[in-house]
Amino acid sequence: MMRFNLQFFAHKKGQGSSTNGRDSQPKYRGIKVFAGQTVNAGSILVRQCGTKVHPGKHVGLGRDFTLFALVPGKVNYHKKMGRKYVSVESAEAAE
Amino acid sequence: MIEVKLFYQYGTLTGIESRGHSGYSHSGTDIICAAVSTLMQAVMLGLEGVAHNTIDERVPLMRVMWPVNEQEKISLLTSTIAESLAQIAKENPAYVKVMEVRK
Repeated sequence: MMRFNLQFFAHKKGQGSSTNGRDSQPKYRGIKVFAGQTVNAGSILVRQCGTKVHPGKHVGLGRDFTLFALVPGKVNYHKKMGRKYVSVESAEAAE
Repeated sequence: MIEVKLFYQYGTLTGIESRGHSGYSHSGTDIICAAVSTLMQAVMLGLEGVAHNTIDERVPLMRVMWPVNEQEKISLLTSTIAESLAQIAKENPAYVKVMEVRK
Protein backbone atom coordinates (compact mmCIF):
# COMPACT_ATOMS: atom_id res chain seq x y z
CA MET A 1 0.00 0.00 0.00
CA MET A 2 1.45 3.40 -1.03
CA ARG A 3 2.48 5.68 1.85
CA PHE A 4 1.19 9.26 1.39
CA ASN A 5 3.83 12.00 1.76
CA LEU A 6 2.00 15.31 2.03
CA GLN A 7 5.22 17.34 1.91
CA PHE A 8 6.86 15.62 -1.06
CA PHE A 9 7.39 18.89 -2.96
CA ALA A 10 8.39 21.00 0.07
CA HIS A 11 11.82 22.26 0.93
CA LYS A 12 13.26 20.27 3.79
CA LYS A 13 13.13 22.31 7.01
CA GLY A 14 16.16 24.62 7.17
CA GLN A 15 18.89 22.98 9.21
CA GLY A 16 19.34 26.31 11.06
CA SER A 17 22.64 28.07 11.21
CA SER A 18 25.06 28.95 13.94
CA THR A 19 26.35 32.43 14.58
CA ASN A 20 29.73 31.04 15.55
CA GLY A 21 32.48 29.96 13.22
CA ARG A 22 34.69 33.08 13.28
CA ASP A 23 38.29 33.25 14.53
CA SER A 24 41.12 35.79 14.40
CA GLN A 25 44.41 35.26 12.61
CA PRO A 26 47.03 33.24 14.58
CA LYS A 27 49.67 35.42 16.30
CA TYR A 28 52.35 32.72 16.84
CA ARG A 29 53.27 33.99 20.30
CA GLY A 30 55.28 32.13 22.91
CA ILE A 31 58.81 31.37 24.04
CA LYS A 32 61.12 31.10 21.02
CA VAL A 33 64.38 30.22 22.78
CA PHE A 34 64.47 27.92 25.78
CA ALA A 35 66.76 27.81 28.78
CA GLY A 36 70.29 26.61 28.07
CA GLN A 37 70.27 27.55 24.39
CA THR A 38 72.92 29.95 23.12
CA VAL A 39 71.88 32.98 21.12
CA ASN A 40 73.41 35.86 19.19
CA ALA A 41 72.78 39.49 20.03
CA GLY A 42 69.43 40.60 18.69
CA SER A 43 67.85 37.13 18.71
CA ILE A 44 64.18 37.11 19.71
CA LEU A 45 63.63 35.15 22.89
CA VAL A 46 59.92 35.60 23.60
CA ARG A 47 56.89 36.87 21.66
CA GLN A 48 54.15 37.82 24.07
CA CYS A 49 51.17 40.01 24.74
CA GLY A 50 52.01 42.13 27.76
CA THR A 51 54.91 41.08 30.00
CA LYS A 52 54.14 37.49 30.81
CA VAL A 53 57.93 37.17 30.95
CA HIS A 54 59.98 40.16 32.12
CA PRO A 55 63.35 41.21 30.72
CA GLY A 56 66.36 40.29 32.91
CA LYS A 57 70.09 40.95 32.42
CA HIS A 58 71.21 41.66 28.82
CA VAL A 59 67.62 41.36 27.53
CA GLY A 60 65.75 44.16 25.81
CA LEU A 61 61.97 44.79 25.70
CA GLY A 62 60.48 45.81 22.38
CA ARG A 63 57.45 48.06 21.95
CA ASP A 64 55.25 44.99 21.35
CA PHE A 65 56.66 43.38 24.50
CA THR A 66 59.02 41.18 22.47
CA LEU A 67 62.08 40.14 24.47
CA PHE A 68 65.40 39.95 22.61
CA ALA A 69 69.05 39.32 23.50
CA LEU A 70 71.35 42.33 23.80
CA VAL A 71 74.53 40.25 23.89
CA PRO A 72 75.49 36.78 22.61
CA GLY A 73 75.38 34.09 25.28
CA LYS A 74 73.30 31.41 27.02
CA VAL A 75 69.60 31.92 27.88
CA ASN A 76 68.33 31.56 31.44
CA TYR A 77 64.83 31.72 32.93
CA HIS A 78 64.20 32.34 36.62
CA LYS A 79 61.40 33.45 38.94
CA LYS A 80 61.56 36.26 41.44
CA MET A 81 58.71 37.61 43.57
CA GLY A 82 56.18 35.61 41.52
CA ARG A 83 57.43 37.00 38.20
CA LYS A 84 59.22 35.12 35.42
CA TYR A 85 62.42 36.65 34.04
CA VAL A 86 64.64 35.80 31.09
CA SER A 87 68.28 36.79 31.01
CA VAL A 88 71.31 36.13 28.84
CA GLU A 89 74.56 35.05 30.40
CA SER A 90 77.09 36.60 28.13
CA ALA A 91 79.83 34.37 26.78
CA GLU A 92 82.69 36.52 28.25
CA ALA A 93 81.07 36.52 31.72
CA ALA A 94 80.84 32.75 31.56
CA GLU A 95 84.71 32.34 31.08
CA MET B 1 8.05 26.61 -8.09
CA ILE B 2 6.39 23.30 -8.98
CA GLU B 3 6.21 22.64 -12.72
CA VAL B 4 3.23 20.47 -13.69
CA LYS B 5 3.30 18.88 -17.16
CA LEU B 6 0.17 17.40 -18.76
CA PHE B 7 1.16 14.97 -21.52
CA TYR B 8 -1.24 14.62 -24.46
CA GLN B 9 -1.04 12.04 -27.25
CA TYR B 10 -3.36 12.60 -30.25
CA GLY B 11 -5.31 15.05 -28.05
CA THR B 12 -5.78 12.54 -25.24
CA LEU B 13 -4.32 13.04 -21.76
CA THR B 14 -1.78 10.27 -21.17
CA GLY B 15 0.34 11.47 -18.27
CA ILE B 16 0.91 13.97 -15.51
CA GLU B 17 4.27 15.05 -14.09
CA SER B 18 5.07 17.35 -11.14
CA ARG B 19 8.61 18.49 -10.54
CA GLY B 20 10.41 20.94 -8.19
CA HIS B 21 9.95 22.52 -4.79
CA SER B 22 7.00 24.83 -4.34
CA GLY B 23 9.00 27.30 -2.25
CA TYR B 24 5.87 28.43 -0.43
CA SER B 25 7.23 27.38 2.99
CA HIS B 26 9.44 24.72 4.52
CA SER B 27 8.54 21.09 5.09
CA GLY B 28 5.65 20.57 7.48
CA THR B 29 3.98 23.90 6.75
CA ASP B 30 3.88 24.04 2.95
CA ILE B 31 0.17 23.86 2.05
CA ILE B 32 0.78 24.27 -1.68
CA CYS B 33 3.11 21.30 -1.64
CA ALA B 34 0.59 19.31 0.40
CA ALA B 35 -2.13 19.94 -2.17
CA VAL B 36 0.00 18.94 -5.16
CA SER B 37 1.46 15.95 -3.29
CA THR B 38 -2.02 14.72 -2.41
CA LEU B 39 -3.36 15.02 -5.94
CA MET B 40 -0.37 13.29 -7.49
CA GLN B 41 -0.45 10.45 -4.98
CA ALA B 42 -4.22 10.13 -5.37
CA VAL B 43 -3.87 9.57 -9.10
CA MET B 44 -1.07 7.08 -8.48
CA LEU B 45 -3.25 5.25 -5.98
CA GLY B 46 -6.24 5.26 -8.31
CA LEU B 47 -4.27 4.01 -11.33
CA GLU B 48 -2.32 1.31 -9.52
CA GLY B 49 -1.75 -1.50 -12.00
CA VAL B 50 -2.76 0.68 -14.95
CA ALA B 51 -0.23 3.50 -14.99
CA HIS B 52 3.56 3.59 -14.83
CA ASN B 53 4.81 5.75 -11.91
CA THR B 54 8.18 7.48 -11.52
CA ILE B 55 9.14 8.97 -8.13
CA ASP B 56 12.44 10.70 -7.33
CA GLU B 57 12.66 12.46 -3.97
CA ARG B 58 15.98 14.18 -4.81
CA VAL B 59 14.56 16.27 -7.64
CA PRO B 60 11.64 16.05 -6.32
CA LEU B 61 9.70 14.44 -9.17
CA MET B 62 6.45 12.48 -9.56
CA ARG B 63 5.31 11.25 -12.98
CA VAL B 64 2.33 9.08 -13.84
CA MET B 65 2.01 7.80 -17.42
CA TRP B 66 -0.76 5.54 -18.76
CA PRO B 67 -1.49 4.01 -22.17
CA VAL B 68 -3.65 6.11 -24.50
CA ASN B 69 -6.21 3.35 -24.90
CA GLU B 70 -6.85 3.28 -21.13
CA GLN B 71 -7.78 6.96 -20.98
CA GLU B 72 -11.45 6.47 -21.75
CA LYS B 73 -12.01 4.26 -18.71
CA ILE B 74 -9.96 6.40 -16.35
CA SER B 75 -10.69 9.88 -17.72
CA LEU B 76 -12.99 10.80 -14.83
CA LEU B 77 -10.09 10.46 -12.39
CA THR B 78 -7.28 11.85 -14.57
CA SER B 79 -9.25 14.84 -15.85
CA THR B 80 -10.33 15.71 -12.30
CA ILE B 81 -6.74 15.61 -11.09
CA ALA B 82 -5.47 17.62 -14.08
CA GLU B 83 -8.22 20.23 -13.61
CA SER B 84 -7.49 20.43 -9.85
CA LEU B 85 -3.81 21.03 -10.50
CA ALA B 86 -4.72 23.71 -13.04
CA GLN B 87 -6.94 25.43 -10.45
CA ILE B 88 -4.15 25.37 -7.85
CA ALA B 89 -1.80 26.89 -10.41
CA LYS B 90 -4.38 29.57 -11.25
CA GLU B 91 -4.76 30.52 -7.59
CA ASN B 92 -1.03 30.34 -6.83
CA PRO B 93 0.87 31.34 -9.98
CA ALA B 94 4.00 32.12 -8.01
CA TYR B 95 4.30 28.56 -6.75
CA VAL B 96 2.72 26.24 -9.37
CA LYS B 97 2.91 26.40 -13.17
CA VAL B 98 1.06 24.05 -15.57
CA MET B 99 2.37 23.24 -19.05
CA GLU B 100 0.86 21.03 -21.75
CA VAL B 101 3.17 18.71 -23.68
CA ARG B 102 1.49 17.57 -26.88
CA LYS B 103 2.70 14.79 -29.17
